Amino acid sequence: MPNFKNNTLTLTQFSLLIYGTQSGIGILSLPRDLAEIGDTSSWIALFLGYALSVVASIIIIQVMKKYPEDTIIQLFRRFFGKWLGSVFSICWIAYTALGMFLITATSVFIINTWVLPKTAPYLILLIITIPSFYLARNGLRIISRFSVLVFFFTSWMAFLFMSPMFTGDLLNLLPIIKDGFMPIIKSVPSITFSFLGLELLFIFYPFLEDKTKAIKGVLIANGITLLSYLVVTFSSFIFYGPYEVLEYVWPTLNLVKPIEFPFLERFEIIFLSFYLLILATTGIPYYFASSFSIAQLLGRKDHQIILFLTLPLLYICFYFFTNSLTNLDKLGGIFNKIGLGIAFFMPLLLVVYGWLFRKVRRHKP
Amino acid sequence: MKYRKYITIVVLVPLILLVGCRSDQLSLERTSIALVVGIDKSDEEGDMEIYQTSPVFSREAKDTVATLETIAHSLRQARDNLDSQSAGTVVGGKLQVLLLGKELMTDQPIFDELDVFYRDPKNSPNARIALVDGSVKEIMNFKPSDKPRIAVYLSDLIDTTHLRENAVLTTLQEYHYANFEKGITPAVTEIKLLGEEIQVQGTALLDNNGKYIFSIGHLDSSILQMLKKDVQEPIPISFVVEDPNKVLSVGVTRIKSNIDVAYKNDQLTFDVKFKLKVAITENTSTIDLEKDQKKIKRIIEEEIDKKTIALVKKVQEEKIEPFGLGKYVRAFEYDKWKTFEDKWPEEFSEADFNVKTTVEIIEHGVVQ
Repeated sequence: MPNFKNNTLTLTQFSLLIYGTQSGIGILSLPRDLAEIGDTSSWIALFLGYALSVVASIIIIQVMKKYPEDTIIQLFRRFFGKWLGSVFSICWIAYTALGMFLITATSVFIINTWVLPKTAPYLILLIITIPSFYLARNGLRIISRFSVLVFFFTSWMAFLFMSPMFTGDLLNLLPIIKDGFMPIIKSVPSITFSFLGLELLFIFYPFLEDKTKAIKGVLIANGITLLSYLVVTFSSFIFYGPYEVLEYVWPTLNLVKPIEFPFLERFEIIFLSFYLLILATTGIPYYFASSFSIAQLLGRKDHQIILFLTLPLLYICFYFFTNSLTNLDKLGGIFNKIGLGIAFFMPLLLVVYGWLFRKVRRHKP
Repeated sequence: MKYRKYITIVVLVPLILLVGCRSDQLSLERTSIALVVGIDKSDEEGDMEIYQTSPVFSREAKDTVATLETIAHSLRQARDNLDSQSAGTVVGGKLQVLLLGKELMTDQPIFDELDVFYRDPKNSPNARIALVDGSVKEIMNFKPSDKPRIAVYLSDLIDTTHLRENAVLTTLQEYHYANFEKGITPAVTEIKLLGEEIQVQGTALLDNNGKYIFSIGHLDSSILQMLKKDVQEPIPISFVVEDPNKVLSVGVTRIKSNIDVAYKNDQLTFDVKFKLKVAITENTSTIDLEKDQKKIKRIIEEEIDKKTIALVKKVQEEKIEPFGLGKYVRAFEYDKWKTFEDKWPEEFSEADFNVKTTVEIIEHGVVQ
């Protein structure tokens, strides 16, 4: 049993930890992803995505509520027995590890493209992974404290993203509903991807100090995520209009590019340096989740050594992975599809299964 | 924890590798920073003449500016050529002004060739674009003794002319926008070398492919920006009110443009209302500013109406639309817009256009 007692999370830490996990790489390309399907009216779908994500989080909480000391690994074992439970656990571990790899590789790729084009990727990988290891080895409370710090440290960015709204043309948002509701509904899946991260509730929940506040926590977390997505999407649509926004790989980054001071030319580098912190609050929880799950599966109390052993594995994977936009997109697509299943469908199945499970148990002598 | 110490060592040792970003460092003396880039038509088919000026950081060199030229198919290729001509590496991130030759823009539209400015994130999207009436080479080699470096001079010139709304100011970012936005065609500043001076002539209007169509002067440029609702500063306008050469000058301090779009009897109609607040800044005529206020108002209103209609007529004839009125159609008549969004300028050429200016005189200085 891991020691949850020394590692409990307050409500603020809990919600900002989830927010940090949710707002990751998706936000960079979100405006384009949305505009491709739903044109400029697709921002309405963000609210639908929010609703779905909150519902999914509440279902996860319902699953976990019955066994407040269990993480997903123990839950799998309790529900499905040793062997089948282990198989499910390994799938879960693979998923979280994939999440960690994807976010790290994307961070490396973005820095390589925008900031340090000639620096070798593995050096950047080292810069990212070593602090991640230092942070993750101390447990979830430290990670969540980091998330809180980063949240307040980077909240000024919201104002930065609002500035293009004033230089752009509000006419670009009209008409509000362009081609009926179908395109809006069609863009919901790509939005639910952006809310991924909530599935780590399966790991975070046992750490929450006051379990009654869990629902409040996910409401806050998803709310902040929704707000940040709304700001970025509105800004991009107002500034670029419905056509130009499709021309950029990362419209969000290009949004800060025209900002220039007489003494500072490429402001987006400053922005990116801060943005890396936000990426870290996404990557580190996945990193922690994968190592912690392995530790639980093996019945170890302490996840540090596994955390450490994961790193060489990551380097090896990175060596064989060609870090290109196409590959990252492919990998991201796979991750999103699995994530959709794990975050939105698996909780439903678990809730039904858990109910049946308890019913059968009760009837047994 | 007994292995903590070892972990620390194993983790910290690789950090020594990370000292500095050696491969990405660049010293100023070894760069050739392109501040102005000029592109002009080459005699050979499909090629472009490309010019670049950059400041020289060397005590031995007499000139502070180096101008290089080459002939290439594309900008990136040109940069490779220029790299081998200059002592340093060519750096594009500080670009201030991009000059495009009029001949080039008339014959071979250029937007696709500008790709590298957008593709490489090291390049600045804030460089101003100017069309040169005449030879780009002459401007690039223009070194008058009473002016600062050509890059500083040109960018100041374009900025201050734009402050008076006598020409548009289009950055690379805005050009990119105008090129992809279907409801507008691009427009850029136009400059010309007149003897020993460079002068901003007004605005050059381009079509959706980036092809040069025609130029407009200072007052028309102001009207263009009034229609674009892109006016911040007071605009000075002078009217000849009495022959010969008796002038009334006003400064337009506040402009409200109200643009309505509607289908009247299946005919696309724009109703534009300008509300101007003007201050009279000069009067050499015999008009009495107190008694003839109505007459002054009428003169200004009629003049602006006439000029606007004339400008729109001309633009409609040439099948371009630099005002961005397509955005209004998209916003308020979306179903109709869907049917012609890819050929908006042609659709606009058949639209009705009404303009009504109302002028309010708020002051006329401290003399009667």
